[in-house]
Amino acid sequence: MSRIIKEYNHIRKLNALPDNMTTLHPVSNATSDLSNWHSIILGPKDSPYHNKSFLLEIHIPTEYPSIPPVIKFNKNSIPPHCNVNFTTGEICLNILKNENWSPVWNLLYSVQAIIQLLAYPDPSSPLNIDLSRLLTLKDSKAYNSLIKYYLYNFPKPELICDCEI
Amino acid sequence: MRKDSYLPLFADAPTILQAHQKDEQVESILTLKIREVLRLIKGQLFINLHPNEIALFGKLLYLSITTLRGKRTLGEEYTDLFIVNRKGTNFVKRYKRLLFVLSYLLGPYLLSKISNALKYLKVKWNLAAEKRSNDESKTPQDEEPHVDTISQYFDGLNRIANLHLLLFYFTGAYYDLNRRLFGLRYAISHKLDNSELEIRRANSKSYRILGYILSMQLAIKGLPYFKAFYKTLIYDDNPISLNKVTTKNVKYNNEKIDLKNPKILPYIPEESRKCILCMSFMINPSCAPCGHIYCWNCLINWCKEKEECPLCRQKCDLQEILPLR
Ligand SMILES: [Zn+2]
Ligand SMILES: [Zn+2]
Ligand SMILES: [Zn+2]
Repeated sequence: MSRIIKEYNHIRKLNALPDNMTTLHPVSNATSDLSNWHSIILGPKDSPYHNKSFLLEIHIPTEYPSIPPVIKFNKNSIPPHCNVNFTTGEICLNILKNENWSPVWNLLYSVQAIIQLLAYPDPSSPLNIDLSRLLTLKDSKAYNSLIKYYLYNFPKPELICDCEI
Repeated sequence: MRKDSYLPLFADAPTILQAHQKDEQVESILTLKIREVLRLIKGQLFINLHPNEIALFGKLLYLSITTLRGKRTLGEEYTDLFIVNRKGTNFVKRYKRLLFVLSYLLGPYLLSKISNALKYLKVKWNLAAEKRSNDESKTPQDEEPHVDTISQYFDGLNRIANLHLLLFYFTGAYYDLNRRLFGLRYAISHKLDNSELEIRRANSKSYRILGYILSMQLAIKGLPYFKAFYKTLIYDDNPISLNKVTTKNVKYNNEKIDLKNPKILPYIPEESRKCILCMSFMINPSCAPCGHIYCWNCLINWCKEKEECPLCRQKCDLQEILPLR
C-alpha cells in the first residue's frame, strides 16, 4: 500500500493534471485511506464526448501495484461508449486487466488511458453491442449523433462528487 | 571384480563421458532438491545470493557418499566403470580420493572467487582513476596493469583446461586435470567380448575426430594469445607479480543494501537509483535477466504474480533474479 501513498504525494505536488483530467482525489478526507478515489475527466476534443465531463470511481486493491486499480464510471455518469457497460459503468480496457497490467503503470496513467479510450473506442471487445455495431459499420455519423443524443441532458459530475477538494 | 585373474581394461572416452553426463544429471536433481529445502528454511533471497555455493554443496554431498566412500557413482554404475590407480593394478587410496574431491570442487570455486574479486578491484580502480583524471590531469598508470596480467593468467588456466580436454579426446585417459593429478583412472568392470571391443574402438575413433576439430578451434583462438605472450617475453617491462595484488579490501556483506546512501554501489547513476515499482530508493537492488533493476522485494512480489519483467515483459524466472552487491 505504500506505493499509493507515494503516488498521492506526487499527484498533490503536480502543478497541473494531464489534459482532460479535472480532478484526481481520494474519496475519503482522511489521508490514511487511499483505497478509493474519484476522478473527473473531460471528453477529448474531436470526440463526440467533447465538452462533457464524467466521474470515475477508482478502487485501489491492497495488492496494488501487483494487480491493477479497479476503475468504473459512477452510476449517474456513464457515457454511452462501446467499451463501457451502460448499466454498471464497467470499463473494458485491456491494460487494466490482470493479465495485461504492469506494475510500472500508475493511477495517473490508468486514468489517462481511459480518457484515450473515449477518443478511440475499440469495437473488438465491446460491452455496448449497439454502439460497437455502428462502429464496425463505419457509420460514424450515426454513431456520433447517437452519443450526442444520449449526452444531451447529461448531469454535471461536479454535482455528484461532493468531496471537499 | 576380477582383478586377480587379469588387469581390467581402461575405459574409453565415450564411456567416461557418458558416465559424467549421467552424474551431472543426478547432481543437478540433487541440487534442485537442496534448493527446495533451503527455500523453505532460508527463503528465496538466500538461494539467489548463493547459487554457486549451493551447487557446490550438492556436488560435495554426491561425491562424499560415492567416490569418497569408495562406492561407484550412479553414472559409473550405469556405464559399468570403476576407479583404479594409474597402472590399473589396484584401487585408489582413500587420501588421494579425498584430495581429488577437494581440489575438484574447491579449485574452480576459489579461482572464480579470486577472479571476481580482481574484476571488482578493477572496476574500483577505473572509477578512482576517472575521478582523479577529472580532478587533475594525472594518469594513474601505476597499479592497473597488474590486474590485466592476472586476468590473463586466469585465461591461461582456462586454456590449459581446454588443452587437457583435447588430450582426453585423443587418449581417453583422464577426464579432468584433478583426476590426472591424483591418479583416478576408469576401468571397465566386466570382460569384453570381441564384438564389444570393436564397437568401443569405433566409438573412440569418432571422438578423435572431435579432438581434431577442437584442436583446430584452440589453435585459432590461441594464436593472438601466444603472440602477446611472445611479445611480453621479448619486451619484459612489466613482469608478472602475483603477490602484489591482495584481495583484502574486497568486502562481501549480507546487509541490507539501501541506495539512499550514495556511497553504496556508486556506479549506479543518481537517476537510476529509484525503483519504478515503489518509487523509492532501491533496497537490495536486483537485476532481472533483461537487465532492468528493481528492489528485491518489489520484483519478487511482482514475479510471484507473473514471471516477467514489468518494464519489457521479458521472461523473468524467480531463480534468475540477480541481487546486486
Ligand atoms: Zn470526489
Ligand atoms: Zn522497489
Ligand atoms: Zn526488462
